[in-house]
Amino acid sequence: MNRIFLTAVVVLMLVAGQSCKKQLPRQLDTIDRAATFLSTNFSPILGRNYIARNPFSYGQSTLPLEFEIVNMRRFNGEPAPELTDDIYPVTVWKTTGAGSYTGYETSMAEIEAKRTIENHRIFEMRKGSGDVVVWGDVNTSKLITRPDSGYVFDVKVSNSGATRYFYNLRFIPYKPIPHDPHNYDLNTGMASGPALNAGTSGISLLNFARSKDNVAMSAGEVDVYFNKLVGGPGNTLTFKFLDSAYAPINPKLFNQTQWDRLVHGFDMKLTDTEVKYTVAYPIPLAPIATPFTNGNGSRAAVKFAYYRLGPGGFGVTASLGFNFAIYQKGDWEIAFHFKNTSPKFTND
Amino acid sequence: MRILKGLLLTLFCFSAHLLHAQQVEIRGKVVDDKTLQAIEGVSVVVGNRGTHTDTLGQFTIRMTRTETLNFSYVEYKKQTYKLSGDENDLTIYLVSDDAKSAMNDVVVMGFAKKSKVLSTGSSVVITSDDIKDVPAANLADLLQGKVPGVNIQTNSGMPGARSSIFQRGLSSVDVSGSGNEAYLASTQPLIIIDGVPIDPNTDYEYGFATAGAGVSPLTLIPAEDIEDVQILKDAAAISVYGSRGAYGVWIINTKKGRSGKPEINYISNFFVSTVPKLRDIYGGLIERNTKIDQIIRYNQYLSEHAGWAMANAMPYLSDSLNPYYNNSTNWQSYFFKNTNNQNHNLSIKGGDPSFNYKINLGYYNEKGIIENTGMSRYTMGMNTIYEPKSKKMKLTASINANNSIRNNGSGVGLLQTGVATSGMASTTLPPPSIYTENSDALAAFQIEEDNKTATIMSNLQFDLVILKNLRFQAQGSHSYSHSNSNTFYPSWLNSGSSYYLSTGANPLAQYNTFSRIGNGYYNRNVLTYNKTFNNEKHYISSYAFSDLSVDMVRSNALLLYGAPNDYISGPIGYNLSNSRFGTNGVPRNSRIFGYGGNVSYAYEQRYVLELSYRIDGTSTNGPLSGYSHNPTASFKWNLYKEKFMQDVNWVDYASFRGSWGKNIVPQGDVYAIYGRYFPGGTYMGQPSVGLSFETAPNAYFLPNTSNSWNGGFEAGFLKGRFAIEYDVYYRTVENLSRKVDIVTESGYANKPTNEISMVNYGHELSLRIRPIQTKNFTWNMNINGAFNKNVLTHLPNGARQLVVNATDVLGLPVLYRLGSNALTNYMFNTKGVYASDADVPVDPLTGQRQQINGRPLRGGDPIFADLNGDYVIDNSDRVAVGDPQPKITGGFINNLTYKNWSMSLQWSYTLFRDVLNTPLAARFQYFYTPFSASSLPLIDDYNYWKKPGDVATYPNPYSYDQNKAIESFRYNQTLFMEDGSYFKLNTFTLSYSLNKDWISRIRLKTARVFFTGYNLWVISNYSGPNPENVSDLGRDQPNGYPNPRKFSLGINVTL
Repeated sequence: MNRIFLTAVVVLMLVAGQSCKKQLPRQLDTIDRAATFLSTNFSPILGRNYIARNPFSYGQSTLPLEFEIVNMRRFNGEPAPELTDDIYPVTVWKTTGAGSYTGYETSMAEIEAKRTIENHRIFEMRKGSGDVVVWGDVNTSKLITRPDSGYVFDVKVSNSGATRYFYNLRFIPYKPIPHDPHNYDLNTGMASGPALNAGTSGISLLNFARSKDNVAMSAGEVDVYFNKLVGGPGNTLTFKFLDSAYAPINPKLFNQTQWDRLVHGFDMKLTDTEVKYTVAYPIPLAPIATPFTNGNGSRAAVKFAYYRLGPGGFGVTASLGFNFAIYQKGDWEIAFHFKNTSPKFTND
Repeated sequence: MRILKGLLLTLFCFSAHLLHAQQVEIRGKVVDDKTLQAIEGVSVVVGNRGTHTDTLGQFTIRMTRTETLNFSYVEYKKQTYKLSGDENDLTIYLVSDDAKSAMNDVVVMGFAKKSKVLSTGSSVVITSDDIKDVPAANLADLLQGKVPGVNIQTNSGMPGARSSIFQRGLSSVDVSGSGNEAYLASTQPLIIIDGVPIDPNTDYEYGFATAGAGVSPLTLIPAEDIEDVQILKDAAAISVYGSRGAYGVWIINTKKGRSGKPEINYISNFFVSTVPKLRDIYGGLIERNTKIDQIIRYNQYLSEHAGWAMANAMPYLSDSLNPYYNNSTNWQSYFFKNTNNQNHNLSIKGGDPSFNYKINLGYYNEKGIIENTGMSRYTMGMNTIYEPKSKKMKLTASINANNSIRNNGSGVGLLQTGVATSGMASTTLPPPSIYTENSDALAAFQIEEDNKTATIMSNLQFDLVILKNLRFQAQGSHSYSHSNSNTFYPSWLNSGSSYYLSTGANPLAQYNTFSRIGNGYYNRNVLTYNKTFNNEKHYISSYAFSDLSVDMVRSNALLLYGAPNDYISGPIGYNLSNSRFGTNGVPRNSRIFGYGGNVSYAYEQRYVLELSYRIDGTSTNGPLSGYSHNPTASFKWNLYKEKFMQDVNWVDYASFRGSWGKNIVPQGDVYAIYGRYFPGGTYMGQPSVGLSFETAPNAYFLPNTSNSWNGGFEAGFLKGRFAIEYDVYYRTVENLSRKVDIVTESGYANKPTNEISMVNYGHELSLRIRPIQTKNFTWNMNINGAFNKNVLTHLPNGARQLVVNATDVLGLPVLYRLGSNALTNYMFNTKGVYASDADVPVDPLTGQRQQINGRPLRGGDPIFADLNGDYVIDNSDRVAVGDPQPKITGGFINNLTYKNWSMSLQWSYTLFRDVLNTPLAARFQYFYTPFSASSLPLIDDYNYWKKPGDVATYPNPYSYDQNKAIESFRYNQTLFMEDGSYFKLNTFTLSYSLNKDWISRIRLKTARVFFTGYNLWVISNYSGPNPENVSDLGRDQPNGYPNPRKFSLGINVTL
């Protein structure tokens, strides 16, 4: 009898312990039915790094999600091997170990130590976040650009519990524009003229006086030329000042310029006609505010200044400021053309 | 022919009786010696004749005066009685047989009292002995760790504060409020005090942290007056309270008179509440130097010169020679003090079985350990039972009145934000005086709050025996409570902030009034029929009932700003535009009507089957969803009554139980089902009524429904040495309400639905062990524990996951996730601290370092896991982690007696719960603002980042500008999630009963002196202040009220 009793107790305990768990729902990842892409058209200018952050609204989905571009094709339905198959070596920043670009690197080698070459497709989607990435440091000549309708692609979004497809997202890139500011037409890729006038270049002049008549010089009297020189090593940046006859003005006349802190470049060669630096492209290297950039690090900022005794014998510091970015590697030359008359460097 | 023979035989028998001329009819009643409850089914034997007592414990038997009455009942010691004189109306007190005592508890099953042999439900009885000698304003504090399956957490040390109570796991996942003040909807069991049902979850009109006089029903009754508390756990036990019982039902009975001679009992104790260890802070010079050092090294320009300029611009930091700034004030010492308190209880009882009475007077005064907080309570309770000798009727009346006065200080509800803020004022400021920088401090000391709650609960019960087996019972009760709180803030102490009024730089005086009136009516009528057949082999008990409860609450609030005078307190004028007034919350006028029946059948007390069915309509049911039908079925197999068990002599008793049933609790309010209307303007000269388009009415709205299965086993072994009670349950909670956003085209913003459900399952075990039972020395032990797990099983719109409180102020939302524990934390996964700048990952595309809020990270900043790999830490990097609900709760109790001495040690424990250590986060956050006049807590014990290359646990606390920008010490990170398991020594009691010989000389019946320590010791790995002082969502409260330690000295005298 004892045995019956004990057996009954044990059986009850076992039954109780194993009860009903099977009835409960499994813990599964999920994708919200309302989750969607907030932007479905991506139209970057080629030739420069582009990232569209958080294009996907995940709602009540379980994170992280996995994103994958599928079925990338041209708008007319033809395959697009230039995006799906072609892989390009791209200069990227090292993710770990080297530290980020700070603007305080003292040599080209130090900058290059923080970068490395990876192989990428031009158009990518980041796996975890769905951020759309277009690599700039590549030859994009094979791509179909505007005014063509570009490319169409689908995105597979998944996690361990669900998969969803989002169809017919668009990638309609603009032709590459090598520098900012610029006067190219984005659709045709044609420049409207050889020089950038002040309205386009955003150049700023302070306390400049015209040598011709000692009247204050306005920014509208200065044109800016971006010239890509050929035959150089491909990593230099030159600044030139031209008078109204396109003859070089001696940059040394800008005697208050901090030449060593003008751009983040090295091996400065200051001659009577130009100043030349060895630089790492693109300029600026990263959207990080440094002493060489504007406040948010989007463009390099240069400032040329000189001192003279102005009217009444008062000392005046005149300065020329210019913010720019160059995305394409090369031997670039930026020339400031004082198209009416040279600035007045002499004392009054 | 045979019939004729039978008739003749019967006639013969009758005549034989008649021949016995001396035989008389003896009536009597059998009651339990301790509880005075009538015992049903006692066999009464005279010679070879016998009968059984009925449900009222009554019997009649014919006998001669020379014969002896024998009473026997399984769980009681056999007793004999010889008639003396000419008595013919007896009361027999049966003494329980300790070996079987677990079986002789009388439990309430439905509306009928039953001995535990016949009860099929799962319930626990706590008697006055289990809760004696400890001064506590709230009964819940005394039950902690004593009832398996009831998780009680004393999460505030405020006198009279509501404890959190969960019976068999979660019953709601509704979260209100936000940040550290977010709270889980209260789902405390229905409390029935002397027949008056009181729903403890209704007093939330004011919300959790807002002002008001909310009183828990468990503070209404002095613990000394409680005879027993019955905790009904499964559906079978709760069945009849099914209209409100889904969260559990507790039945509290106060003591009753029974002795012939009046008995006067006086219990008094004086107790000291002591302040636990408070936050250590840096004083005076160290505080100043630390702040200046922070500013110099880590200002936003990262420039030493700029730092000096900033520090010098702050006289509070730089002007150290100024006596006003040259102090070392320990602000906490002004707020926290040990207090002396008292508790008195006087009861007078007496009477005989036909009429008895009890009067109980209580006074309880506890000053909180925070200045200007406390509670005093005056109670008066009485009950009387009248039962004429004919036993045809019985009248029971009780009334419990109570007046509590509470001081919340400058805090409101559970929080002491004012004290927490001013207690952390800079130590360099001068101590409190009429002119001080720290006006919150003065407010905490000087603002007088007049906060009273008066409660009257009355109950009248009438029993009538219509026929021998048919009884009728009618019961009516009323509870009334009126709370009032008036506070006057003179202008110089009015910060206004605690009431969300903007008072500007030069505030005026303010007068606040809250009032709440609650009325509850309850009526039930029960018709009971009991019958035994065939020599007591078959027993049927059945009843039909109807019950009606009415609950009405109205509450108002006035916040009158701009009183003209600082000295005359009162609403004698105010600034209309800055004041707020009106009803507080939703006025309620709800009704619940239910009816149903119950049948119970027992075969030889061996097999018991019980079925019940009830039908409920509530006024917050959707009109189209109709009445809800709540069936229950349960059985019990008293194994030890089987023949084959008779030779198993080491088993005292053993039985299996099982039950299934459905219960509901009304939820939502009348707006959920009918929508909300409001008076509009006039349209073409006619008054108009507008419809609120916020919430659409749901005419199919359902009450919160519990479906539960329960299996149980109970047994006693070795003559009472060892007893076990085990329960397993599986409970679904369905139809939980949640407002769901609906398409705008519907015209409404959202709609209440019943689409959330979850499951609780668990095991409960209680062991009673009596290792030593000798004449002089006894040792009783009780070990109990309960495992509970909850799983979310359904969400609105078929969703599998839902982030609740997504816009929480502290970024602390709650995650509902199907198949997971019902409430999950959703936070950042902290993986350490960046040792140096170069360790921060860099985005290969942009070259930017990983960033938070646009700020690149650097050495000494926290490493949050970048879940989606975008080099930006934002809300999409949060992970579901942790379960704030404890998995295992329980306690162990040791009672030792040696001669006149007795000692009791009561422990409780809570295991496997994830607690967010927000006080630690707040401790580091004090370093965010070196310019503010707040003090700095000690952080030397923590391994924080000091210099590049350090592998640290905590980020660099001094880097204030960066920390504030990237929220290094945010609450919602796994760095602060800890295991909140703890063991707590609830009470230690040592008592000595004075020798009866001595005290009888001064006419005392009994006298006992005792010493009690309460909340003595918490053993825990938790690094925060107290793992119990934690909200139901598992969030510790940096501004909470610490639990005091109490030491009490008391006497208990009976005249």
